[in-house]
Amino acid sequence: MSFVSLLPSPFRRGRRLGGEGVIVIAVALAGTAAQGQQASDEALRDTYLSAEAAFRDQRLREAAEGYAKLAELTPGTAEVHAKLGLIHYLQGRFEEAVPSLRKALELKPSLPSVKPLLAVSLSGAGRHSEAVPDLEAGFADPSNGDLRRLIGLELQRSYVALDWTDQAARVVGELGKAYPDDPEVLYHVGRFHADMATAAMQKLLEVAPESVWGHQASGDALESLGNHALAIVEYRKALEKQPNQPGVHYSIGMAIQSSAGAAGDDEDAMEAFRQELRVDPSNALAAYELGEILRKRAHLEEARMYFLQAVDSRPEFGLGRIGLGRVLRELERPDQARPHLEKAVEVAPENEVARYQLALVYRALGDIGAAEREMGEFQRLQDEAK
Amino acid sequence: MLTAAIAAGLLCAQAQEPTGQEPLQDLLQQASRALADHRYDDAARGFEEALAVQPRLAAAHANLGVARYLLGDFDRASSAFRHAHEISPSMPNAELYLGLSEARAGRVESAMGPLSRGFWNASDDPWRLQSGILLAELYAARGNHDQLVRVVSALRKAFPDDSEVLYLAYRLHSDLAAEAIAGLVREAPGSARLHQVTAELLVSEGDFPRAVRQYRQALSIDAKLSGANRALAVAILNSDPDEALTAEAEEALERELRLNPRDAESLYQLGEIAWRRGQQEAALERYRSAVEMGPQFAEGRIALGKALLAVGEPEIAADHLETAVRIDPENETARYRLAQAYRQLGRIEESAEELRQFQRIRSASESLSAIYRQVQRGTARSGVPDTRSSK
Repeated sequence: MSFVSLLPSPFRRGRRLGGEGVIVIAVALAGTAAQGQQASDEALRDTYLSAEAAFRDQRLREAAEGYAKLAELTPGTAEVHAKLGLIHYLQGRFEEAVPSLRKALELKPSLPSVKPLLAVSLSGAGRHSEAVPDLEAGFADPSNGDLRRLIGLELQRSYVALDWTDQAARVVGELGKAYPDDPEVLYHVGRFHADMATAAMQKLLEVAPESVWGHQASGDALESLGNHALAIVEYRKALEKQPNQPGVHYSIGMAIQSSAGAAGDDEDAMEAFRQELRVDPSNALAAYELGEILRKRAHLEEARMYFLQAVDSRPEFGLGRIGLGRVLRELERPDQARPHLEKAVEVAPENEVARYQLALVYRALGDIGAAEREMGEFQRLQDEAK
Repeated sequence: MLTAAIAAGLLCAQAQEPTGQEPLQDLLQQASRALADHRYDDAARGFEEALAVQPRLAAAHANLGVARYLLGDFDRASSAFRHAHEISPSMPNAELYLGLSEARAGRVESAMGPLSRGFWNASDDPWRLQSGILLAELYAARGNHDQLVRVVSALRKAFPDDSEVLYLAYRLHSDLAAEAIAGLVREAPGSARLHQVTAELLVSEGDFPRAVRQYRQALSIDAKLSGANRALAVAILNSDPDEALTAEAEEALERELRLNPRDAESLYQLGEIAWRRGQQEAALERYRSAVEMGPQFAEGRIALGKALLAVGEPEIAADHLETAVRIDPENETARYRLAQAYRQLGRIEESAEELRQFQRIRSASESLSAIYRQVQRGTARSGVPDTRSSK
């Protein structure tokens, strides 16, 4: 046996090295034997085999002891130091991992994966300034494959520890793009932004608690908690400070709509949305909400006007296009509805309402093939949602 | 503020531009006065008349743009600023004004370039603020999160106390956090991380028993989940535990330390358990280890200070507590304990000052703590299933 490649996908503080991103460190046993100054080949082999067995069985303490002994016996073998560093890393003994990994690199700078592992260990040991340069290099290097994910998470952690939030935000953005389905990445992206939001809110309430923005932020926070009545109180305080503050009337309308259906809610909400449009005619969301209320009341022509206002302000606003297409279809103008629904499908291909409405429009226009295609997409999306 | 900034900036440029013609100079002066007096129609007419005489006056074009902008005529403001910029590309902020006008005219595509260049190169704060906020709005409307985050970060650095910028940052990061958590719900609905997020939400609501259940579920899926053993222990310790639960917390902390031997907070929590049990020496040992592992971990210093005061070591306690105050000046417990230490050392005036600080922080934190919790909960709730219905 001359080479052994190893490593399952262990965790480090719960951050997977990556089932996919396995660090492989090959130990050249033949080479170690040749360099062992005092140990016999047999003793060296026994030590190696028992250390390896311990490693495979996740008995990391024994594996570390075995490799520490091997490192004494063959001090010139880079792979042995690298493996010892890796074991310390897996044990969470980052400070101890660092000298072993440094020694490995000193002996053999080309040893794969060791440089990023050293950087990650330095970060784990809280030595963030030292860790950052190699973490940055490792994250920028596509040849690190899935190991980039671990390096990126660690780089973000180091940046945050150093209070380099701009850089952390950049890495978080890149991680989110590169690993959009990865729960670990999503968790850390979420936590990073939640911490940033909290810090901004904290500062806002320190420097300007009674400002229009302070009240607006408090209203948003209360609204997200489902405390609609108190949210409205805060929004009204914001309006006392700045009656024409864009967005606040819209928020009041949404809070009214969200509160449990007291009689007259729709009227109050509609009035809030109308006021929003008086303050800011370009508020597509307010126009859309008005359109929706009116559509549900079967005031289709009025609804159409508001949906039109919404998409005029925001041509890429998928919901607005769907609303407009839908009322046009209900007004029996499928030819006018079609381009809006096609646009809706273009900007939001996974929106099943858009697909369904478009299918109905195609059918009304006599394009049965297209209607069936869209209905098929609609069914697919429904099945996926189940 | 916007009006004043535009007028001041460009009038200044106006005064420096030689025309060589006295009647023209009179026209420009009258138009400038009209602008300063907020008579924008008069100002616009005046600058147009001047430009009819001498079309190559960059500052007159710019001031005409200002007047048009303030009249809400963004199309013609754009045109005027474009002329100004073409005639004098080095005119301060002319491109920025062009971008603002284009944006206000609804021409997002053509606004982006000038606005972005103007924002990153702007020399004058009020305009940088306005253009940055507008630029952020445009990026938000286009869903360009990378650029949005970049602009908001720059705004936060340049205007750290501006309430609008802080609000913008709050909303941006809240939305991005909610989006990520919604992704977690979608991609990994039964994952350990989602149970962890749910537990964190419950902790922020003070619902520790349910949080404990969520952490246990998370750990049953992934026994080595980052920080979850420690968080489980903390949730247990906050839920008025009996001895059996305290023992469970202790085991969880030991597990955390096996995964992460340098975790100062776990050591500190173990110290707290020992302290609750009246085991002063054991607590001291754990607190010392926590401080050794995390010299910047203020809670560890505070706990060590508390224990040292209890065993009659006020001088060493004061050292640790002073360090804790340096690390976290707004920590009310650190201030309170330091006041105690100074009192024991006979440093009465310093003790009184620390007590004053303690009272100041406490009264401020009472009003803020509720809203912090709300932020945390608001952020987490957006993507997390309703925990109230789960058993």
